[in-house]
Amino acid sequence: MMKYKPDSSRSCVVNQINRRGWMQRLGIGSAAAVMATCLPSLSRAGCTSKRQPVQRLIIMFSPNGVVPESFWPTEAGTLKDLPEILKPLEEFRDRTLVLKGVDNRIRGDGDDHMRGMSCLLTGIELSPGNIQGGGNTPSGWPRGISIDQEIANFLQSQSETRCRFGSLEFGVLVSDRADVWTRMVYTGANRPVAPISDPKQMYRKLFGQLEDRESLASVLNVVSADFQSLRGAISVEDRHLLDEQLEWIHQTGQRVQTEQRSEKIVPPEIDTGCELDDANMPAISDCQQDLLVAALRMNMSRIATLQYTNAVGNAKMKFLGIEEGHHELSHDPDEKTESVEKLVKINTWYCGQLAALARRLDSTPEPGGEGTMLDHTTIIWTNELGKGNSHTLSNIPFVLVGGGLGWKQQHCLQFKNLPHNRLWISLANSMGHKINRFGNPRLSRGGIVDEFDA
Amino acid sequence: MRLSVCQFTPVLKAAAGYCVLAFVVASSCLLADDGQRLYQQHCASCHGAKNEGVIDRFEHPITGPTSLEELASYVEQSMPADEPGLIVGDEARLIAEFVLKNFLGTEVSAAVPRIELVHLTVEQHENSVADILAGFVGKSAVIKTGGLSGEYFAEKEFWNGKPVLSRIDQTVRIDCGSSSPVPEQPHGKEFSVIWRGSLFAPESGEYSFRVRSANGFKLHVNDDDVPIIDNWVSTPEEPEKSATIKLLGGRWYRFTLATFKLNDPAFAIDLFWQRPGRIESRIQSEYLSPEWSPKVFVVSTRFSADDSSVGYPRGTIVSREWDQATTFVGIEVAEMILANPKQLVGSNPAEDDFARKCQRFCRALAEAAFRRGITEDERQRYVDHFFETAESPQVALKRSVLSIFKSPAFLFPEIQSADDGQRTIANRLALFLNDSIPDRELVEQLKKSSSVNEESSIEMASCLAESEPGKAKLRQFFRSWLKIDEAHGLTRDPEQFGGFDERLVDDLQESLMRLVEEVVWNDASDYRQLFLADHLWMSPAMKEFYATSADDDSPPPEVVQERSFERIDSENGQRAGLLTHPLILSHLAYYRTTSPIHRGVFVTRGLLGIGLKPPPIAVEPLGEDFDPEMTTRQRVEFQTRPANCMACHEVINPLGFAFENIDAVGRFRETDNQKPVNAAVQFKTPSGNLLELNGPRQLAEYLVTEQAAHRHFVESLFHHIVKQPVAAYGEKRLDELTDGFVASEFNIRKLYVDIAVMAARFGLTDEKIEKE
Repeated sequence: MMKYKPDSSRSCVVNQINRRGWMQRLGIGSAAAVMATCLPSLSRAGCTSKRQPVQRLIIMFSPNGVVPESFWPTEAGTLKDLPEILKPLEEFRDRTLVLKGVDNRIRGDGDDHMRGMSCLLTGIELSPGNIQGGGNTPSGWPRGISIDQEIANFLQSQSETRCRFGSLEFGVLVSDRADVWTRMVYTGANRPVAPISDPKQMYRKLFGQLEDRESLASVLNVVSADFQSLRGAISVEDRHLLDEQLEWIHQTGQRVQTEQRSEKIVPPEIDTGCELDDANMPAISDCQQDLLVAALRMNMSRIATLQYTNAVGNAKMKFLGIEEGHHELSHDPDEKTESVEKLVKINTWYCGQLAALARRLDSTPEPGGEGTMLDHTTIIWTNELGKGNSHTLSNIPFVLVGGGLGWKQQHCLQFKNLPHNRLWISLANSMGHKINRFGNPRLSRGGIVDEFDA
Repeated sequence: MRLSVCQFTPVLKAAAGYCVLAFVVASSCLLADDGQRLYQQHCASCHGAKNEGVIDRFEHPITGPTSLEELASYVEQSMPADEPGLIVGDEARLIAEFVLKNFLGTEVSAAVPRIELVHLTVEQHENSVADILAGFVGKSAVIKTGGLSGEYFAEKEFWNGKPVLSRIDQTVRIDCGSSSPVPEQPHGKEFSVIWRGSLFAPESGEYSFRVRSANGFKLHVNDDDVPIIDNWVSTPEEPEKSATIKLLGGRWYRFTLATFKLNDPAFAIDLFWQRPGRIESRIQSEYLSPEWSPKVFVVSTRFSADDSSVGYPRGTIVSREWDQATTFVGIEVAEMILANPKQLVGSNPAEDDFARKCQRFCRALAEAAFRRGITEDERQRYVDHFFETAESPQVALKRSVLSIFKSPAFLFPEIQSADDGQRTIANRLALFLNDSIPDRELVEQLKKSSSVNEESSIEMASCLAESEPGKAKLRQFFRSWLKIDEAHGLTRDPEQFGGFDERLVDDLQESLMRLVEEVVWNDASDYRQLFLADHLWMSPAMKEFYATSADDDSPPPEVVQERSFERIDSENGQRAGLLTHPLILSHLAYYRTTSPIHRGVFVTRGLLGIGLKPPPIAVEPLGEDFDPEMTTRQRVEFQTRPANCMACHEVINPLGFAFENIDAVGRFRETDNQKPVNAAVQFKTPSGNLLELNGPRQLAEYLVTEQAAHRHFVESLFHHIVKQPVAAYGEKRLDELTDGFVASEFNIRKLYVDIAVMAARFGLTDEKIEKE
């Protein structure tokens, strides 16, 4: 199997000002062996648990449905030839599971995009409310928690699986508004969680302490030199105040040094000076994925979501040679082949992002465990709709890549209108959280889906 | 001199030891040896010949340290305890010298009060940071108050359309059911409203905002990008949302509330706030303006409280927590800058000049933070060095900012004064009057003027004193002097005082502050009016409650929601400004009964500045059921009868009993425990005169003439402003300032300015002030 080799031209340049500024690679592949330990001060809680094999979950979202003909494998069973959109997954075909015939069967208030997004991970109806979509009745927030949070709460309740963050929510160009189109993660009814779309902000959340420590170490000399020189100039009675301050500076310096010595890795280099606009989407995606993998590697969390834009996302992906926005294209009729080709291109790019994420994980040895990180991580790629122009909530795309759940691999499973609630129930159970219903109780009937198991 | 029994200060430890003994005045010229003789003569019987203490008198040695000035003044005012005022002038000083030198191991010369090196207090730190950054984005220039600008739209997306109605709304409060708030558009199926403007924070602290609405809304306070409440997707089952934000007092904050209706069955919105130390209420229109204000950079880092053991907060403790907090502030400020690069730095990372502008910004930041020009060497070490070595401009900026905010020059304002005296004066004035740095305007003004003489210092100080932060600082003085915030949560027996609820207490807080503001900011600014004003600012709830006398048995009045205040003149001529203000008198009372001791201590210590020692033994006050026949006054007289109590209570009791015609919730009364009240007292003044008083009005008339009270007021205000002992500015400084205060017809604002100007110019020679 091919392993991902980092592109040396994109690796970071330390101690050099990059004026134009762009995100730099984390240097994952080559440095991975050195970095394969956790940061003691930041992720102490989760690091010690070697007993149980680690299981991680990443849910990746892209919007506006897919082009079914180019997306779904022609037949169920062993995954042989990958359809066009899924081609980027070729190198991971042996670790891919495609679920066909899984539906988001939540009805009630809100239009299909709204329910497609906000009921996707919650599996429960939206409350009546004031947000009017393109059709149907207006709605408010969903009435329940999303599956990633449900599992995260479970993992955080166990000392063995507890991490610094229960979950991490990454975004790529998610619109800066809080509504049912932009939020898929919920900690409970009416409790949306905003994804972090700015890599700078995510970096700060993950590594801010380390970076601050570096900064602090670099300023202590400057400051203490001034305190020293002023000491002589002030009266004897006042000197104690400066002496005390100098003592604290000295102690801080010692502490910082000790901490630096005791940790085997440094925070990844990253230039945060990027514009968050559509043209930079590939770079933002790279950066967020790097951060995501780094965070998982350091066991900062075991659950993450990676949300590309939002329901009705209208990114203009000019870097693919496409001038129209994604959402407007998705409304074009099937006969308009030009648009269909563009949609295939867009979805193939998203699949490429999925493959890139898998590759990053697969090129990183599992810290303190067997195999690679991908062997312990399941990525689920999904969407708010089955198909853009019909707005159907049937046949919602669910493509699983990676391992750790004990589910079938290199496979396409065909179901008939399986409520997606049961997918989430099965997922929770495979991650150790024994529940027999999730979201809408009626749609939970039947519970775990046995066919998933290998 | 203020000696607090609540705060067990070093001064107190030393001073608390003096006790009763007989005394004969020594005459003629006095020598240092006389200190010992006077001590043996007047003090040794209680304190022992070698300060070992005397059983049944004062059993513990006097401990220190204290200053000569403080101790001498304490001896003058409070010793011997049964006859204060007997040892004065040089004699008091000799005794103090002898005690300091022989028992407290303090060289008298070293114990003279001095201007100590201090770091910024919490309040100074927060305000300085805000103003340093404001130097790059500008300050609010709000003039017009009275409400927010309201724009009403016929569609749900206000940002897409033109308003169908624009007006100033005094408050945000609409309940229009299923119709529309816009008359021209009565169906009200769909519309949106946005209120924009600024909100004024009268004091520093945590402010809570609550919006009650089942419709969609967003509330922005001090940030246009991130709302403090985002409820655009409505949650009808949770029809209200609240959030808390820290604001610095004396500043305007940009404020936006947007709401919309679409198909919702009804529309209603109601906005509330809760100020620090107050209960929740609607925002009065005087705190709202339709005008825009720039963002104020308020750091969220929390400092532990400053050392207030001398009676006012000052930066004399350097601890690990403080050091860490200064680091967090530096990091937080750097993040604020990097989050608003265009606004502050003037460029963003995508632009070619970003690194250059960051570097330039950091140089300017250092100059603002150091309150002076920076040297070549400083520029290299605090700024350029980081830009030469760090891997990106962002990292360089962060390090530079952190070093600047951890530097001695920023943290210790007096450690390296500016080269020119003018700038030093401006720096000090800004610190004394605004707890901050001089703003850009003032610095520019200084550059133009050739010297800052006394007159222009006064002009500068007046400007700072009358600015909103200057007013906020003075307001804070009265709030702490009168302990107004401590009354928050005050309760009294609901059976006996029905209607005395938290809403009424909140009105009382407002009422007292109105009295203070009225006196301070009217033309005369006459301190005496604080005691002599014969009116009360009353809310409707207060009118209801205080209309009935304490002896009336009528049922408690209904709760009134209105909060407009009206000036009501006293009917019986008995009102005496803050002395009879119901907030102060109910705060200085027990759950059911008055507390002449609390009231007396407030006058003795808080108004006259007479030091009191704590009770020799822990004493619980006798409950009102101790003797059902006794009045409160009789009970207190009974309990404090022993000689060792009377040393202090001889002073405290009469001052407290003078208030006995006002009950535990501040109502005038004629009876206590069905007996006529007795508010007539005999009181020996600090200068030894025996005075007969009846009731608080007569007490007020005495207090406004009492020099000790004037001195104490001047000294307290001095400490609040300068945060150094007044005696450090000269032995006679307090007398001079007090004389000036009296000569100005007790003008508080003039005193505020005079203190700041005197302290700002202190130690600077004329040559130093002249520009080279």
